[in-house]
Amino acid sequence: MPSCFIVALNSLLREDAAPRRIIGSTIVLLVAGVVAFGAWWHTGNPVWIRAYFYYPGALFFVACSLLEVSLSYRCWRRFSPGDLLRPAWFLILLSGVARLMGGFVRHIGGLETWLNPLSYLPSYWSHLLTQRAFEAELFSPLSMALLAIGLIQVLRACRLNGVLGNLKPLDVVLFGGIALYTVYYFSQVVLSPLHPEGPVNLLKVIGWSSDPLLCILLLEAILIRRSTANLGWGLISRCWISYTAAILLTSLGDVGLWASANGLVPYWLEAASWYVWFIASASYALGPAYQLQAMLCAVDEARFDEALLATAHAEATAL
Amino acid sequence: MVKRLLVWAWRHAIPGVHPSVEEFLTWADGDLALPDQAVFEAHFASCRKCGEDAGRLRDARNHLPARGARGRETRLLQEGLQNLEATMRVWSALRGFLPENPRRHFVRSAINLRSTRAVKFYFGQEAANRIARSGQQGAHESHLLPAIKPLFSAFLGRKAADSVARHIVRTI
Repeated sequence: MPSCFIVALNSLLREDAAPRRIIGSTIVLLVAGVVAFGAWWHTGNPVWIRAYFYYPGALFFVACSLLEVSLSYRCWRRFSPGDLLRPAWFLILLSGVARLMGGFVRHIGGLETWLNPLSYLPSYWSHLLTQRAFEAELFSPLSMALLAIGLIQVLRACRLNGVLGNLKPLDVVLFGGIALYTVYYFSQVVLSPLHPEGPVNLLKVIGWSSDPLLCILLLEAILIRRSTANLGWGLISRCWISYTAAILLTSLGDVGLWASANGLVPYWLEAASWYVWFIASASYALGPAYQLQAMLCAVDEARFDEALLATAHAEATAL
Repeated sequence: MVKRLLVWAWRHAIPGVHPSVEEFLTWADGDLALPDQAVFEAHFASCRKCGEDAGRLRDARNHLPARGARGRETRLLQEGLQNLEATMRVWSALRGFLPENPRRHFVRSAINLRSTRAVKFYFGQEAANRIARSGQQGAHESHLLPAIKPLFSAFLGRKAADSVARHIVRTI
């Protein structure tokens, strides 16, 4: 029994076990979230759900972004200068850094919790800075813009290798829906003469670019999804499917926020949309985790042979 | 730019107007039945881009026998041309341009078998099946490894792709 435990622990600590660790910790967090939600529902005391989102939830966002940055950096370093996807991974790394900074500012610095270093300042400054941090919208569009440019390189690689997929009618409908939402948002918030958000400044303009950027990202994600559908479920496909899932879930979460702010969804659906952000955050970390796993397997002969043997065994079993 | 876009749109929007990569290769192999050959020749005469592509491919083919005296160079050229054709077939296969049913049963050579398994592990079952089919399209089973290496290079980087190729060959 102890030896089984040690083997399990060793496999978890292996560098290429990152995808399993991410999926496992996401499941644990979601189960804890359901428990916290149930406790809140049962007792009527909001401290349960607040504690869940303010502590393990906030830490999960930051930890996922940190992991994403660390794994993307290792992926980028493993590409040689002149490699087709090296610039893409550099941009993905920068996008991860922007997401990490945004996560730290918003989820740690923007909430009045014990984790927030600002909460140890004098009361006036603590409250003012925490409020400013919560309203900071600079990092999200920056991260999206960098990721969008990086994914263009990925699509280029797909096209050059003949794996670029085509849009299907359903994709056009999905993209059209998100594009319509963006146009509606702009007409209501940005282009409205009765501007509800006060005077326009640079930070506000950057914040407005989130939705159009998300539209571009969604189109790229759909194309990548169609391209990976031509390939199957290998490690590299899983890497890009993770990014596709992350972008789709971000769009879903965004629409969920808007719908709940306008009272368009029932309460249970609104509550479910809060948890979508955790899965999106984990998916962003899963992308580089799969890529690194593929790269590590490529350079290690023993692992490569093991993987090929497993593939052969699966083929034999299927026959 | 506009011209390139128009050529691209014309080639992709109306399938059948221009020959596909696979049809080009079949034409170059001389495998087309006589009436088709005439249709292709007529198209090459009227379409500048396809005419140039066909001319280049025909030149490469005609060039080989002329160099018969220099054996090593000819062999290298022959291999280069075969690899190029295999790469083009893999590209067509991944784009989904090849027929669904393989002509013969799967791949035979050990290197090709390991190559397709590597593709399956890294990219997926569908990619492996398509690439395996592409290896069966020519008169002889082509070597897949040089044809799939650019795919690995693109997504894993050159260093990792070199390692994959070494691992595939080393254990044979």
